[in-house]
Amino acid sequence: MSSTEQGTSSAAPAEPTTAPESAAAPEVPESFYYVHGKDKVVHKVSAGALQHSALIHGMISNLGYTEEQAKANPFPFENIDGDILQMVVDWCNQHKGKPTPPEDTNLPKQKEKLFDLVLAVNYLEIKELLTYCCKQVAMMVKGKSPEEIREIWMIPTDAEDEAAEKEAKKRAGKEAAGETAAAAGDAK
Amino acid sequence: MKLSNFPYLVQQEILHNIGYADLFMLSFVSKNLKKLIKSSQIPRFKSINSIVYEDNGGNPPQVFIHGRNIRDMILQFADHFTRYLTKYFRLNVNGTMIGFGHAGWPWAYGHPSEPVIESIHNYLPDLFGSSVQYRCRTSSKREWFFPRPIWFFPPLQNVSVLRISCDREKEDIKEVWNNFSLSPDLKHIDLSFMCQSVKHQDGLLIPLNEFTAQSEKLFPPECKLYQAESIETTQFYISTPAILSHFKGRQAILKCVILRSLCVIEFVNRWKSGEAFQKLEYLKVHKFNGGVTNVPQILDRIGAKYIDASKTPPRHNLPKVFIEYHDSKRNTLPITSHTYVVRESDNRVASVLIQGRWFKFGVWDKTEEEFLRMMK
Repeated sequence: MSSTEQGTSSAAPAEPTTAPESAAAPEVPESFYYVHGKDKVVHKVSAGALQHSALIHGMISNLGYTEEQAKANPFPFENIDGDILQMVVDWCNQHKGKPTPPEDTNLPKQKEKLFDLVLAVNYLEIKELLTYCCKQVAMMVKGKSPEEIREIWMIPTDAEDEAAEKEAKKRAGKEAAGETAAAAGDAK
Repeated sequence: MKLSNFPYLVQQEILHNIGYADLFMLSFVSKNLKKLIKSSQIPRFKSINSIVYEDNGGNPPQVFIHGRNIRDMILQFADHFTRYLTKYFRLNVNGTMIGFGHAGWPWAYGHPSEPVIESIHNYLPDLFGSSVQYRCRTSSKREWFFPRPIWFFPPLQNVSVLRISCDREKEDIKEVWNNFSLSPDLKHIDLSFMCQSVKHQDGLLIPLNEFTAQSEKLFPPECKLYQAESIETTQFYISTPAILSHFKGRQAILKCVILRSLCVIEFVNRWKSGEAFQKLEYLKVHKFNGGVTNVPQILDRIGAKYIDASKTPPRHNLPKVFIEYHDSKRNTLPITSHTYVVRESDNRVASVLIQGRWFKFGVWDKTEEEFLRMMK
């Protein structure tokens, strides 16, 4: 968490008799917000770090919470696993106020974790992290045969796609027939 | 976790980060995935300038994608198994079962003259779009690569540009013309003919100093070279190949070492008489060593006419038939000259410029009266 205190340097010079006006401007204390995922574990994150997320940034810019109000009302992201949200928060903290590098090598190597991270990052609208994640997902199929790609990305075969399409059509037909019958019943 | 669970924009971003060679492989995974690739990568595929079959002076051809600032190999053909392969698999490409391997990039097994290349060639426009230009680049192979074909000329539809390099010491051009005759009509040919000697069809060796005398034998008038819409050649003698005698296309750029004034004079006079070069729009000859000599004599013998020196002559330039890259210049280099000639048959004008190492000839879509009226 980013909670560095400002202005505590022990090497501060003796207090000047007349301080120049421009140097005396006090820094605005950083505000913090709270988020939690599916596991309800609350993470404290600075507004600066949260700026990476267009979704959260949009939410907080409309709120104007005090520190207490923010603590009492953490943003709930029930669709995101706790460990994934932790990864996202860590990334936002690491890259707070810094230009993002062209590559990020600290993304999860496990396929399932990476895929969950992509969904979370896409939901939270963290553009740079989404780009890194998509690059990593793309790298998974580099130099692979079509069958290997099918396995990695769980892509259905043409036969499976056709069967699924038929099934969907059948279901849609049944639903439409059900709706027609219900409408006829209502009319009676 | 499935790829299809991602929202469309995420799928699009993932595919955008995949190189062309892997996208090519990806397109064989399923019909739906191929559809997704095609629909989500439209702007990217539109930036492809050309797909080039390149034989790299010895190997069976490789397939490259050329675009703005990119030259990506997507496939290597192979007529033998290589020990560097990490995997082997078979794919149905437009109804032909083809063996593939992977060694840093995909390899397709099959002799280039077999249906393998044709099936893949027919598959590529379906994936990358039909507006992409297909080109072929071939150069003579080293002896130790025999008995493969010396040249690679794919008899494929839609290959519209051919680049040939005959730059070895002894060139056996029998195969060139045998294969060349099977090629479809070409939009542009780029020929480098800077070899020292040629082994001809009858087995005789023709040395460089006999090229001019044997020009008709080496490049007969019916040669497809002269049929292309546009041509660019680098040759030792201006007369071999004899573009200035037999070219039937629209635009030509010739670079040569030896330029005989007589060739230029004969060319202009044949154009003026209307017996040849009816379609010609633009010609540029670049002499490598030293400027063109005997300029007054040439101008006299072609019956050149002159625009009043106090007037600014019109600038001749027109759209190029062949544009190498998206950002290449789209027009021919301008010709601004006070000298011109007139075709007897239809009174058409051509600007003539002989300056330093250059001879430039630009045909106007105007009669002499219309041409002169442009300066008023």
